[in-house]
Amino acid sequence: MARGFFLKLALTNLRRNRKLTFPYFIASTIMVGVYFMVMMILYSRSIGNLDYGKTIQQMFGMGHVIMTILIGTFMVYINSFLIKGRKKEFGLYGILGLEKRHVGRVIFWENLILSSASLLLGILAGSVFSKLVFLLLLFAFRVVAAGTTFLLPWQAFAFTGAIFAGIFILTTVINLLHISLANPVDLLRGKQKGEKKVRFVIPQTFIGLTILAWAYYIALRVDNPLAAMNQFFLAVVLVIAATYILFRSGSVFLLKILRNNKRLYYKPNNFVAISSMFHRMKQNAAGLASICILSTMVLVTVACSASLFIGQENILADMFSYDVEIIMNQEITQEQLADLNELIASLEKKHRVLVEDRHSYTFGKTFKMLKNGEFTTPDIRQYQTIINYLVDITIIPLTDYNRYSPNKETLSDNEILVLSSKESGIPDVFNVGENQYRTKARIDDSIFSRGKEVYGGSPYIVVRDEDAMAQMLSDFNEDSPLRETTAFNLQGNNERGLKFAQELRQGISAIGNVQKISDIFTYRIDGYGIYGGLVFLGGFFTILFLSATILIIYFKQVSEGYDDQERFAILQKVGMVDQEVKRTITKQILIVFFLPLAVAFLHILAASPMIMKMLQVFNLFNTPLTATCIAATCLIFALVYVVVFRLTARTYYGIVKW
Amino acid sequence: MELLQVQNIKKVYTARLGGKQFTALNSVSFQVARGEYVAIMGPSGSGKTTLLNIIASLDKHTAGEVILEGRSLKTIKDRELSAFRRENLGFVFQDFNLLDTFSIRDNILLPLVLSNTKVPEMEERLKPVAESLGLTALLDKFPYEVSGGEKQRTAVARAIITRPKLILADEPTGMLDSKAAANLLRIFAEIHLGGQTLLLVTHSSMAASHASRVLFIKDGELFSQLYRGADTQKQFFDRIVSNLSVLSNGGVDIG
Repeated sequence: MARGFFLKLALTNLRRNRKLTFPYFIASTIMVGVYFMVMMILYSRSIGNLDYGKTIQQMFGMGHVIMTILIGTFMVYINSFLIKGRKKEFGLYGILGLEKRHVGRVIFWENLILSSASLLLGILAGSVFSKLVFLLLLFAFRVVAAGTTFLLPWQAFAFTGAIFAGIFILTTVINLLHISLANPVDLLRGKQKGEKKVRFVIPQTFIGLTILAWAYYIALRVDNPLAAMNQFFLAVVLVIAATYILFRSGSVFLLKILRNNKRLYYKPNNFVAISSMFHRMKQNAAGLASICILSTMVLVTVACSASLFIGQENILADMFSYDVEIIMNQEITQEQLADLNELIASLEKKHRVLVEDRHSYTFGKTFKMLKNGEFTTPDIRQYQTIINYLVDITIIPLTDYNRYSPNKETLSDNEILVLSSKESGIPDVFNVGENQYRTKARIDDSIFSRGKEVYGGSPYIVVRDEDAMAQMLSDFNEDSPLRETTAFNLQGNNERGLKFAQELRQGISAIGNVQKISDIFTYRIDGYGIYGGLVFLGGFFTILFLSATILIIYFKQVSEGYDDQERFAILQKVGMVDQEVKRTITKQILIVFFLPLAVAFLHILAASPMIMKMLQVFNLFNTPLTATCIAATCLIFALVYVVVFRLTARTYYGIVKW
Repeated sequence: MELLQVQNIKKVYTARLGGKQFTALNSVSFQVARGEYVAIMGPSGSGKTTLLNIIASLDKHTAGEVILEGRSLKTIKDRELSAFRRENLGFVFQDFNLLDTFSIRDNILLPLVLSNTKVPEMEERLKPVAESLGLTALLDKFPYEVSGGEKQRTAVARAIITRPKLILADEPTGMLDSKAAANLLRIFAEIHLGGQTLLLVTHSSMAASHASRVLFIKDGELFSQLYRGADTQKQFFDRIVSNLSVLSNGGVDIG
C-alpha cells in the first residue's frame, strides 16, 4: 500500500480525534517550550555573564534533572489517555483487514506528526519567550542591561530536540506494544472489560491512614528548620504514597460503608450517586491522586518561592540589624578613626545618603548553646537541634552602653544587663566557668539590640568594664580578642547605598586596622540573584505542574463523558427524571474533581508548619508573611482550578448532551 | 376494555436540512387486551422498533393516539413521562441496558428505588422475582461478571419487579445464544401465564411463535396478523414462517 495512504489516514485520525489530540498537542508544546527555556537559561552565556547568573544556572542545573523526569513521566501518562480511548478503532482496522504493522505505521505517523509539530512550535515559542525571560531575569536581578546582547545557545536546541525525540520513541514503542499484544476482538471489546477489583481494602485503608498520620505527625511535630529540611523529603514521599493508597482503597472503603447502609443507599439520589462514585473512584483513583499530588506540588512551590521573594526584606532585616557594620581591631588609633569618620562623611555627601543611628562600641562575641538556663559549647553531632538553642551573644562594656542610653546604669562585679528585644533565655543567676553572674536588669529596647527585625535579634550582655569582658569571654572559653565596631543605617536607595558601600570598602583598605565591612546593599543584590532564581525555577515548575494538572482534568472529563452518555440514556429509559439524572451526574463530577483539590489543601495545611520552619533556614522568620503567601496561593489556585473545571465541563456536557 | 389502543399512528422523520421526509409508520392501528402476549414481526426497517419506542413514550408520534388504560400518552406532560414509564411499563432491550456500576441486585431494584419504595418491601418483592428467574445466586455479582442470558434475565427481573401494566421487549433474544434464547422465551411464556401483558418486537419466528398473536409490519404499515388459537407452538411457528415468505415476496427474512 502506498505510503501516502497511511499518512493521509494518520492526518484524518488526528483531525477526527481533535477533542483529544489538540489538548495533547498544546500540552506537549508547553512542555517543549518550558524545557527549551530551562535549557536556554542553563546554557546561555549572556545569563552566565550576569552578576548572579552562575548561581541561577547552578540552581537550574539541579532543577532540570527533576524536570526531565517529570516531563517524561507526564508525556507517557497523557499518551496513555490518547491510546486508551481508541482501542475499538484499532480493532476495527484489524477486522477491516489492516495488518498490525499497517496500524502500527498509522500510529507511527500520527505520533510523528503530533510530536514534531509540537516540538517545532514549542521551540519557536520557547525562543520568542526566552528573550522575555532574559529581560525578566534582568529585572529580578535589578540589573540595568545596557548593551547586553542575548543569544540563544545551541545546546538548548540540541538537548530539547534529543529529549523529546527520546520521548517520541518511548511513546511510539508503548503504543505499538498496545496493538501488537492484543487481537482485534480484544481491542474491540477493550473498553468493556470489567473493572479492577480492589483487594485488601480494609488493610490498605488502614496502612494508608497510618502513613498519612505519620507524615502529618512529622510535619506538625517538626520544631526546627534543619530537621524540617531533613525530614521534608521523607514526609513528601509518605504523603504521595498515602495519597495514592487512600484514593484507591480509602474511597472504596468509605463507599462500601455507605452502600451497606440500606436505608441510606436505597434512596433515589444516593442510589445512583453512591454506586457511580464507586465505579468512578475505582477507575480514576490513580488519576485523581496524581491531580492531588501535582496540585500540592504547585501550591508548595509557588508558596515557598513567593514567600522568599516577597520576604527578601525580612530576611535581609534579620541578617543585618544595621545597614552597614564596620569591624575594627582594638588597636585602631585615634588618627585612623578620624580618617574613617572623614571617609564616611565624604562618601555620605558624595552619594547623597544620610547616616543614621550610628553607634560605636567595643565588643566580644561568643556562640553558645543555651538550654534550660545553662550554657554549653555547641556540639556538632547534635546539628539537628542545635539551631533551636544556639545564641549569638555580644558582650559590651557599661561605658559604651551608658553613652547611648538615657538612663545611666551602674554595675558591680559579676553583675550584668541583658539587652534583648525578645525573651533571651538568659537566667537571673547563672554560672559560667569559675564565676557566677547575676542579671541586674533586662532592657528590651536599646540601640544595640533594636535592629530592624522583630522576629530575630540576638542578646547583648553589658558588663562593668573591659576587664570584666575579658573575664567573661575566658569563662565562655572564647579566645578571640575584643574588637571595635561602628554600625549605622543609611537613608537612600539601594543603588546609592551599594556605591557607598563599595567605595567605603575600597577607601578602608588604605586606613588599616579595619577588619571587615558587612553591608545590606551588597547582600541585597545577592538575594535578588538567589531568590529571583528560586522564583524563576518555581515559576517554570508551576507552569509544568499546572499544565499537567489541567490536561489530566480535561482528559478525565472527556473520558468520563463518553461513559456517562451511555449510563444517562439507560437511566432515562428505566424511568429516572431527566433533571434528576443531570443533577446527580453533575454532583458526582463536582465531587470527583474537587476532591483532589480539597485533599491538596489538607496536605498544605499540614505542611505549612514545616514550610515555615524550612524557610527559616533561609532566615525568613516572618511566619505571618509565609502564611499569607500560602493562603493567597491556595486561593488563586482554587480560582484557576474552578476556571479549568468550568472550561472542560463544557466539553463534557457537549459529549453527554441532554 | 383494551389495555392498549394504538390508533392511526403515524411517524414522519424530517431531515434536519433540506426537509426531506421519511415516513416510518403510516396509520398503524391495533389493540392489545389485558393478559395478551403479542409479538410484532417485520423485516429490518419496517418500523417495528419505532412503533415500540412510541408505545414506550421514548419517541413522539406525528399523528394518531396511543392510549394506555384509557389515558392518551399525548396528555402526559414531559416532566411526568419518566414517572409514567416507571409505574406503567417494563422494558427489556436487545442490548440489556444494565448499568455496569450496579450489582445485579441493584439493577433489578433500580425502578423500585426510583419510586422511593421502602427497603423491606423491596426485599420482599425481589425474593420471588429473583428465584423465579434463577438469579438468587448472582445477586451480588456485576453485569460484566455474568453471561448474556443472565444479563437478559436480570433485565426481565427489572421489568417485572414493578408489576407493570405492560412489558415491552425489543428483540430480547437478539444477543443471546439459542439455549439462552429458548430459556428466555420460556420465562416470557411463564410470565404471560401469570397474567402479564406482553408486547414483543422480534425478528425471530421462534420467539414470535410463543406469543398468542403475531402482528406483521411491512414498510410502516400493518400487513397482517395471525392468532395462535389452539395451535401448538410448532404449528404456530410453521404458520408464521409461511406468512413471512408471503410478506417478503420470496426473500424470507426470519433472522
